[in-house]
Amino acid sequence: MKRTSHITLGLLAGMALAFTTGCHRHNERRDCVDDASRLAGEQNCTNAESLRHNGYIGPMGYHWAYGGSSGGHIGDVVVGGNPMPGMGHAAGGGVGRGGFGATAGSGSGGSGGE
Amino acid sequence: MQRHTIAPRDDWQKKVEKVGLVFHTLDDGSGSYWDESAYYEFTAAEVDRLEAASEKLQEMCLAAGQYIIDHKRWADLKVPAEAVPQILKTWNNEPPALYGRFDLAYDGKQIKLLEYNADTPTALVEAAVAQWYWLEDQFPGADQWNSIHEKLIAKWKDLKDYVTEPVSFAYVPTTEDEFTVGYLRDTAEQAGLKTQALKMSDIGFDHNTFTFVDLEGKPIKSIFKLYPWEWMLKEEFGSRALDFMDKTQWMEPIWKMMFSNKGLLAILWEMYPGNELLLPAYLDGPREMKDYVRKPLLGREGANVQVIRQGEKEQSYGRYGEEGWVYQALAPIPCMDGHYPVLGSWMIADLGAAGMGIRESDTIITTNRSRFVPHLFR
Repeated sequence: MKRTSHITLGLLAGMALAFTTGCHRHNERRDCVDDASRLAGEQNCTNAESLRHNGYIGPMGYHWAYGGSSGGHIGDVVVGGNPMPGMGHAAGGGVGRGGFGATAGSGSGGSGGE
Repeated sequence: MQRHTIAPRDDWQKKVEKVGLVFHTLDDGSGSYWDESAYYEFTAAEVDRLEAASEKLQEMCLAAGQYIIDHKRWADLKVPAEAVPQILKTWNNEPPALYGRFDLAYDGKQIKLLEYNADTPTALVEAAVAQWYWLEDQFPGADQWNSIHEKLIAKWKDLKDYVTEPVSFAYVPTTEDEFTVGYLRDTAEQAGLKTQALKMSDIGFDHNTFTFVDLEGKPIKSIFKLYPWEWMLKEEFGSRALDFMDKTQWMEPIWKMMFSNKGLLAILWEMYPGNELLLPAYLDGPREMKDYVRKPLLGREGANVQVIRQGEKEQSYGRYGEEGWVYQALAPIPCMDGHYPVLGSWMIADLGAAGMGIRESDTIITTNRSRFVPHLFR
């Protein structure tokens, strides 16, 4: 036999259960914005993602901004948004954060794996 | 190697989700990433050949690492000069390393190395877990080249005395990466290690103690990161990772930069010209090759690959290539019912070849939209 005789999953099964039951934490606010950081309809970003997945590399115009704030109306400027979730630069006691992860946030798809 | 079509299991989405493959459908909803409407069948002899080839390739890559060092080929591979001292140090000290994935072309006769994803390989949950459960459901009497799960646990047990707990696992917050890292954490915990997860962007640097810290401000002494070294070195904390590597043990270690660089393919051909497992590959151009593939030295997921075949050009797009290219002879990837399979052969550190995952594409270029198709052997 060249296969594992038995697989037991612990942590991964818990993550999967949380994900499929909607308990997964993806609660950081995200807004679809244009190149001028103005709030746009979410369909614009969905369309842009689809183009990107199909190999388009030109100017995208629309992208997600995570963790920002705005007045909530189309055209309002979103302030403080980041291109990837969880990119806050929280600091305290001489600790800096956000020094890794930017490359994933700046490109296509954002995965660190291949 | 044969490709068969088969009816997917009822509720297959729920079945693969339950075992951690929640990213079974492409992000834009245009189709399935996990595809169990087909499977590949091998003979035991074929699997033995693939396993032996993977072991041989690993041996050759290790020799190539030493060759790169001995001949100072850093400029050819565009490895930043400031990274070289730590590459040398980790190569010699052998800090913990975990895994890698050879991508192989196989047409039923020839086995050829396409590339080595030695730093941040994914498609792991699919290969180690999802296809194992698929086999249990669909062909319980058949075998599969897949001891990835037990070898990962065994490797973590080996590493227990060489890492400091909790071992941190860092990732980019995409579903695929989070679950890949979640699976690796699972195997580490089953080996008895305490772990914690954090996003790459949450890794902190304490400017008073010159130490990387977790979200509680505690020093990170051992960390697995699903994030490529070439990206890390370009980022704000990259120089700190180099300067304070004696305080934080990074997995994969930085010497993996020599293997994950596609220039390795040219180095291997230079060392082993004509080797049956290799394709001709060069750094300075296609030379005599008429049909070849141009790949970025530091490309990822099939982006910016250009295929030249009988004078015709086919290419994928992306953002890579600024560091340069490697030119590799066109591989004998077979067309199976209109699909092009690439075999991913998993290596678990010194425990060796551990299993296989297959990605299928509609073109000869494997990308992040290529489908994962399970396999078995009899």
